[in-house]
Amino acid sequence: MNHDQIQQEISIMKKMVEKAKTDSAESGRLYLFIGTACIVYVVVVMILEGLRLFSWTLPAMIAMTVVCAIAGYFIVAREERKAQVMTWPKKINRAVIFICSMAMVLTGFVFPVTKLYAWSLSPVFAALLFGIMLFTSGAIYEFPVFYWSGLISWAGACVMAFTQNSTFPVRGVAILIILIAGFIVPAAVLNKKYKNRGHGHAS
Amino acid sequence: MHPEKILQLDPVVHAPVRLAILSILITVEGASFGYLKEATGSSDGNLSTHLTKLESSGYIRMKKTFVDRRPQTMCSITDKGKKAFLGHLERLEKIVAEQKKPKK
Repeated sequence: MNHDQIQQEISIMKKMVEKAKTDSAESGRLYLFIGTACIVYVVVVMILEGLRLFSWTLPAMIAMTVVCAIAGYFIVAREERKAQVMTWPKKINRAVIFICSMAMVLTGFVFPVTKLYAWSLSPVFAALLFGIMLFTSGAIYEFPVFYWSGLISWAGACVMAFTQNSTFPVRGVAILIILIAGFIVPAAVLNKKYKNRGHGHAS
Repeated sequence: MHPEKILQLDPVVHAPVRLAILSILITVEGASFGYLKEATGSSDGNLSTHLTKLESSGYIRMKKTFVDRRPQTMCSITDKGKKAFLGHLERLEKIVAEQKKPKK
């Protein structure tokens, strides 16, 4: 076996490893969905509260949570089913997103409804969980932007925790800033990076 | 080039298409038949032959499922396959190191 043959084998291995890594990159679509769904959720609640339709708030929150959970499940299931390549980071990250989402439903919705604590604390817990989800995702995907997203979320949680007496529109705007800075912008960057790698199609 | 060094190369791993397949599978948890076909540039028959060889050697496992009512075969590397691939890589590195040594 001569030098050229060995170099050819090494070249094959490098090329295939690089291809597999590129083709299994995270598209960012799930984060875009989560961010958009949460923004819609917050805006709807702000509108209802603004119009003083308080009796509609809880049914709207329940309906949106259920719809988002079902839509999120189908998005993930469809992506995984159609994926040509499965990776451990993606699998771990899906588990992190799932458990954080479940925790958000409990802390942001179930516990306040059962009067365990006041509604004003639910966005604080939501922001903390967003931070955990994003920071962990940043580590899993080696995407440093998500570290900043996590930190922004935690900073937002602190702001909201210590301004509990402020009105909902003020806290609603704080949540929207966290969602846009923490989810939408990084997800859009990730999606652009994914497309620049030559992924113009759904996975 | 020492003949014994060449003989140590695993013939199952040594073939270019199988080497490419194992290189992909060692990087990911699993890859579909379609993906491996596109990545290696092989035909259906050629790829099937290589996958069967790898499976019968215990280097990969194949799982057949249905996606949108269409059959899909997902392949993943076994521990034996990982060991064989990494061993092959190690032997290649040794051969390269040997070739770089100045001849006495």
